[in-house]
Amino acid sequence: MIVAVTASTFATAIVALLGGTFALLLVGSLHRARNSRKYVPPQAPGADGRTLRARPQRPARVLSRRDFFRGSLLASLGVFAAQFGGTTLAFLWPNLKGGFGSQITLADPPDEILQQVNDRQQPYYLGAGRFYLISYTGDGDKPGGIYEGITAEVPGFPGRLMAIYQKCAHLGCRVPFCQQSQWFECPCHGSKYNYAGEYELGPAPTGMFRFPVKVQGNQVVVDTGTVTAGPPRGTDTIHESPRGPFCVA
Amino acid sequence: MIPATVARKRLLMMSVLLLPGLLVDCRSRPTASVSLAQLVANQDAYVGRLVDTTGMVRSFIDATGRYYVIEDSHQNRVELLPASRADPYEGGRIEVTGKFGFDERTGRFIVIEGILPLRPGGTG
Repeated sequence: MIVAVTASTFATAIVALLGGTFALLLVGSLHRARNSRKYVPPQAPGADGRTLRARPQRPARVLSRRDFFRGSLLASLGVFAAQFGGTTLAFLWPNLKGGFGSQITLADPPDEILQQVNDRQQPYYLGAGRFYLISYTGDGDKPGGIYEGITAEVPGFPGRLMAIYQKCAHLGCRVPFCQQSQWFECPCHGSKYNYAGEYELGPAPTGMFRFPVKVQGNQVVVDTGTVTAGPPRGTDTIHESPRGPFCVA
Repeated sequence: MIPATVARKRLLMMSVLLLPGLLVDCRSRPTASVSLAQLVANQDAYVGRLVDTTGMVRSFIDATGRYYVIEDSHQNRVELLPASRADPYEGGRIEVTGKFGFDERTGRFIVIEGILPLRPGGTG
């Protein structure tokens, strides 16, 4: 365990200490101010000698400069706390709908997506979801296979939809698809994956990660909150050599 | 009763002392002790933060030269920068503290602030 007091830890400790002292002083000061201002209603003698209970009158409240500063200080502290709390909540609040980390429903229907993939000879890419959709024709998604349960069938098409996370398994760079070789090639350190995102070359320890895909009615839903680990090195379910020169040397 | 002038001076002094502290705190957050698996799974959440993690140092060679990474048993990796500080620990287990970042051309990295060798059978 490294026992090192970093600048931020030190600053946090100082702030906590000063904040606590400051709050104590402020509360004490307010308490004293309240005690010194206790109002005793005046009593006047009546005609029969008894004292009449005077109707209590509230004294005209004059805001002193000290009170004004105290109030301003409290208000600014409150605003600061609200801003800080709000920002923290906004940062920590999970993206429950529509963004990366949630279930993403694609705008295009499944048959159109597969048609696009086949016509353009490249995967369908969704930047907001950070994934590629490919037409998977291997046998890895058969019962007991390495991709069982994460592909989706589309009637009328031989290939099944498979979602591949764009992140490289080595150091997390975005891996583009190379049109020439029909492989995924990472520009950072040269890892190469075949069309199905299975490891072929370079320093990556595994194949690319995946997300489960479902076809619900006429919609494609990709669950980017569930990451499936990449297949281990040596996995090759599609047996496709590069179809042309590599994009990354 | 504290005289008004004294109370005012105290308030002023406390405000002057408190403000720089708040400003420093807003600039940086405390060190997060995380596993490499967490760093890899949620790399965006840790960018710019001071992290503390453990693993084994390994090196790779690419077109730009030799670079060092820290990795766990599941081969979750983060590059260590500068390479000269990681070099003496190659093949060994370490605990490293540093600023985590991500670069589109090189991937995840930690800029080393503190590095300690661990026993081979140590935790992490």
